[in-house]
Amino acid sequence: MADLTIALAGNPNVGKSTLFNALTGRHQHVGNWPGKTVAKQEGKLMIEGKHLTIIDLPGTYSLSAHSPEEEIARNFIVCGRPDAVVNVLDAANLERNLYLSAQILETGVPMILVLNMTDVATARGLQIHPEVLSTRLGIPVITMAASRGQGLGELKRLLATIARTPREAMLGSSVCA
Amino acid sequence: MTSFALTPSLRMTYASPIEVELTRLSEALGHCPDLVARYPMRWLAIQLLEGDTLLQAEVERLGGSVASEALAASRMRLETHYGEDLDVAMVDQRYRFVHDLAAQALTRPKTPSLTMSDRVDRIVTNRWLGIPIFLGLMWVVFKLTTDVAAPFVDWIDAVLTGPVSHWITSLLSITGLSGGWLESLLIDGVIAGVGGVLVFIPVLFSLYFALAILEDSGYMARSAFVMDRLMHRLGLHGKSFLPMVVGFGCSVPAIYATRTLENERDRILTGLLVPFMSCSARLPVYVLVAAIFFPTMAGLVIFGLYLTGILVAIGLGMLLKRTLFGNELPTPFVIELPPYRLPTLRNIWHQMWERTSAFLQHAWTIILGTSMVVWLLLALPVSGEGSFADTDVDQSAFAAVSGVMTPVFAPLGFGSWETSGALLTGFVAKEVVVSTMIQVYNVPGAEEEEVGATTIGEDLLAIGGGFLSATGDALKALPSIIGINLAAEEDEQAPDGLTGAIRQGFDASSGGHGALAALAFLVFVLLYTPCMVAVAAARQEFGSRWMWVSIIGQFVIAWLAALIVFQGGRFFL
Amino acid sequence: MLQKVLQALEETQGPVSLDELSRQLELDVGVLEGMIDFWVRKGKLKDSRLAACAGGCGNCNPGAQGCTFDRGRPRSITLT
Repeated sequence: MADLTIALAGNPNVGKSTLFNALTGRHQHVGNWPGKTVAKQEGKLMIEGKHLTIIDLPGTYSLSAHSPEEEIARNFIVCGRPDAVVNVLDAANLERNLYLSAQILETGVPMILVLNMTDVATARGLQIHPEVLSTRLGIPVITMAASRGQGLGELKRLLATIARTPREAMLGSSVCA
Repeated sequence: MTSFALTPSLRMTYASPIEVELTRLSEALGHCPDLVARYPMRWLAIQLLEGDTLLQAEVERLGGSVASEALAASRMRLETHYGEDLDVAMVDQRYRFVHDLAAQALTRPKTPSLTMSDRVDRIVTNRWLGIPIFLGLMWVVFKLTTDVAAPFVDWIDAVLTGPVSHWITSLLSITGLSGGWLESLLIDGVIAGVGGVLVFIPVLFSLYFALAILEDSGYMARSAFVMDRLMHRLGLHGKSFLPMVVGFGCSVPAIYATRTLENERDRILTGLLVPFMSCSARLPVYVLVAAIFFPTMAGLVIFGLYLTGILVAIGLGMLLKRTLFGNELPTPFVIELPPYRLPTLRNIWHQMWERTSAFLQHAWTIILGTSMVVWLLLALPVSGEGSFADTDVDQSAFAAVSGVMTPVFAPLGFGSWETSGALLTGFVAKEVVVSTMIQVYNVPGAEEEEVGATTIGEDLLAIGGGFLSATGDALKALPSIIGINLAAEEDEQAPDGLTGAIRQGFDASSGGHGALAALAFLVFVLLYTPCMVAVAAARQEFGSRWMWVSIIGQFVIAWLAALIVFQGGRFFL
Repeated sequence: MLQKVLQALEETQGPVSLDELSRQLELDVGVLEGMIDFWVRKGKLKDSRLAACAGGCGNCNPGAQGCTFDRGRPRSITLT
């Protein structure tokens, strides 16, 4: 089976880079997106005997292509055919972050929600119900505090499951053929 | 494993008219294999209806006229529902969807916990406490800039007039150039002029330090907010104070900052008021004059001047708003108050350094240039027996030129050619007022009192020792900011040449009311044209007509205010 | 929801802070900021951060981040 490509998407400053580093360690490659001055972060991860390529997309608030960053993120999610998009959210700022999720949702790409910075959210007295999000959206939702290394194991297990699952099983009918 | 799915099962549904068109459009687009191969159809349809121009071009290219016509038709049908605002409606529905989702997935605390920032803001931006707190902090800033910086000012002054002048003289005598016009240019022109301004670097350094702390901590934004609210209540455009905060540093960027005001009239009005905010270049003048005439309450005098600037700006603004500028309602606005944070040393240092080096750059260009012109005019005899570079300053070309202006300033108590000259060169830049004053009041023979020759080693030792004792004095001055005076009352030193000369000069021109004339002089410096660059900025932003209104207006207001201070003060004293 | 932001701004008296507005509209500050950005793009609101400082500086050399004295100015958003 072919190797997998996983894209990390999310708003700026949600700890996406921390997660990217935690996943890929030293196996990183920094280049530029074709025709853009925006840096392209790419890393490798080995799970269940499969090579996962992790792409750290530029942090954006939306996918509306109003800036080079948004255009890159959008093009990659829609046309780059990632096997899954890991959408990282700031749990302490959930509503704003979910706007991007709603737009990714509309592309019909397979996705996972990672609610990061749950420690900050808890400190602010916010109670997050990941299971509600998961049931309503029908996708896996993981809580995480990447700066403390919490939730990383669960994400890796999930990625392992993705690596084992035949691609067709993850795809809905509405995605690019 | 087949049950494992990552594809969302929930689909966000738009309002039914939009959904109908989404279905129609994606069906029509589905007939173009090139599009189907590239994009998810529903997603593409959403973007197209939302008005994405990039994708529309793509659809026209790949899908041809069939696709474009389908899009145009869908848009047309939706126009009856949403008019021009289809995109607003779609984004709004997305926000609603997200809002509902968040409401289900998130329990917010019943009483939102107040962050530290919230708590501080309740006090700092309080309707009644806000302005007293702002004034109190300003007071601390000026105590800090004057008291803590003063020992270092004395130290640099001692270094420049002592060892450095001494070295230059020695160097010139070694090369056989001493006693000539070159020595005069270097000592009376460069050292007295530029050096006289450089002496005040510690003052600016501590002002920039205080400004950096206020900015970096997030307080500056609050002060603008508090003052804006006040101005709004006075019928002025609230946003006017935002550029004015910048004006405490420098008038020029403050004039450009008026661009954030949308209404042309408000913009011009604010541009006229901004120069009354006391910029950092005026501070050396205040420090020099206040140290001579009001040594025990220099901080208070300087604070009063800054306050006067604000009050004149607000008062004049109210007056103009009710007359020339029409009394329309100010536009409301939202201001972003950044969260409070502990200022970092790195940030503070960076800002202080950047601003101080900008000042130094200024010193080497404008101030040096003006000092040399002043020196040249002072060296040129127009009457009497003197020869070039060896003439009595009273008989110099500079005295003659400045003398023309003295009748204008006579009613204000400072109608001498020396002060007139300083104010004249002050049009170029405010620091130049200081350099010119030092040059014109430079008492000949003062340097000759220098005792004996010193070696470089002794000089260096004296410089180092001076710095240490300055640091000690500065530390002792710190508690006095909050009212404790640790430093023992120093014996009043006999005024040195410059201090004495300036005092005598003001006494003579004011009929014995030297201190009052000095105060009027400071008020004048506060209120008249800040500098040439500010004039150029005003011209660029508002046109030459308003530039002239600004120059003349500031001069008239400065003159009237100084008149009130001097004549009013004389009446009461 | 989007219209409410414009409405609230039209009705407000005097300057209002972003926090005050978010409490008044019962919206997260982040969400409100997103909505403001939308209206700024639509040209209904004006953001001071985008109305460049430009020009020059008298007492300072404008560096890469604009004038050093201009950075103390907070961001403000107005109706156009």
